[in-house]
Amino acid sequence: MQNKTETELMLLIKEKHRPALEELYDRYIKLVYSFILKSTRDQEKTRVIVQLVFTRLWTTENGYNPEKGQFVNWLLTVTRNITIDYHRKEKRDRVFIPFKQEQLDYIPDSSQNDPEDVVSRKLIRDQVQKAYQYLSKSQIQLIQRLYWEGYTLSEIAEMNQEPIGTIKSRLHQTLKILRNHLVLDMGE
Amino acid sequence: MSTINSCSFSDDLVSYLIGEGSKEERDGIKRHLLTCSSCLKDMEELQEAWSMIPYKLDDVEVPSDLKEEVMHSIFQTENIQPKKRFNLVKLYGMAAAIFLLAFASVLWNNVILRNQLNEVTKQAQTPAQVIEVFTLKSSTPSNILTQGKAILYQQGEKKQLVFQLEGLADTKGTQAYHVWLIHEGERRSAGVFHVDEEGHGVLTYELKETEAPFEAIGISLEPDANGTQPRGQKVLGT
Repeated sequence: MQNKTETELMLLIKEKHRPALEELYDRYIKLVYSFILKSTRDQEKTRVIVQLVFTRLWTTENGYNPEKGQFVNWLLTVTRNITIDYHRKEKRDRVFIPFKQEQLDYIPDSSQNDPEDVVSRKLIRDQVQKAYQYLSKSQIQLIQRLYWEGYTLSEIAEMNQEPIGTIKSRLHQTLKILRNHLVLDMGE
Repeated sequence: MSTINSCSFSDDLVSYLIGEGSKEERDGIKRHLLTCSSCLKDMEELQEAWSMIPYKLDDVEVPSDLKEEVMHSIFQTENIQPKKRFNLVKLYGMAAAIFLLAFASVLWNNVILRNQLNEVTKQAQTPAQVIEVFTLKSSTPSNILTQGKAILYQQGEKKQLVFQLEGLADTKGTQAYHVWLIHEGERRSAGVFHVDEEGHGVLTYELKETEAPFEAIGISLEPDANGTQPRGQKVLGT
């Protein structure tokens, strides 16, 4: 099981092979767990969402397609979709916030700079951490709300009482800063 | 480090990037990207940065009991729920079948019991009539004390044979006397008996309506009561 690629594991999972799911869990639980905890900042909710993510992996019909990029990015997309879905359901219970399902379906997936293993992921993480130092408070808050908490641009504009153009512009700048520092620090 | 693209589409790229905007807006940007190389480059860089965000994760300890909880939940629903449903169906089916069987057997018993009661009543009112008496003599001519009778009688439609025997030696261990009805050289069992201290033995045998007739009777001492053909020594016969 340990020599199998993620693509092979996902095929085995489709055939309901339990050890394959356990292997994927062992390989990615740390990433998935950290991701969700970062988004929810709540251990109990994180447990619930981890459960949802692995149940989705077990039952998904449209599984991972290796032609569309690295497995880790696909897994993170699935994890983020489920996490944001969870956030939105929670929010919906409090106030009604309209949102479109296709916003969740479309998560960009870069095939460049995909980490191949834990070591390179760790390296990238360190780089991202460093790049964050160049961001302002409002830029960090924007990423937190948009990426981690799943708010839409217009929702954030409303929360901040700012025009949506300002939010878009800020996001554009934020991503550019992140990207430029990552590239610089990685010695490109 | 220029962060602002000169193109007017610049800020709308982020909506496209994160999957927001109407289909028309998205299609518009898609078309624009085909012709504007600076926006395309911009877009690629934004995508890179966006996909890097999840890597800013702190090292956290995953609770060690989480795996068991996750797997348990997944495989419990997998295995038990469909099985449960199946079992319930099976259980209901079995319960229904058992109930029907029980009901049918009560009915059946009732019918049988009624018939038997009828027969007993009928029998009690019907006189028994002797058809034939067989005299049984010892196979050892000198042993005149060993003798017996077999009386065939009819009561209503029922035919019975009653054996009365005396002067027989006591049986040892598993030994038993075995009565055989003989028809065209073939022997069939009519039952087994033991004798009392004085050597008396008795046996009744009911002849079924469909049963073949018999011409002769033999009684043998068998090593046990289970044989279907004589194995031991013949002691009495017609």
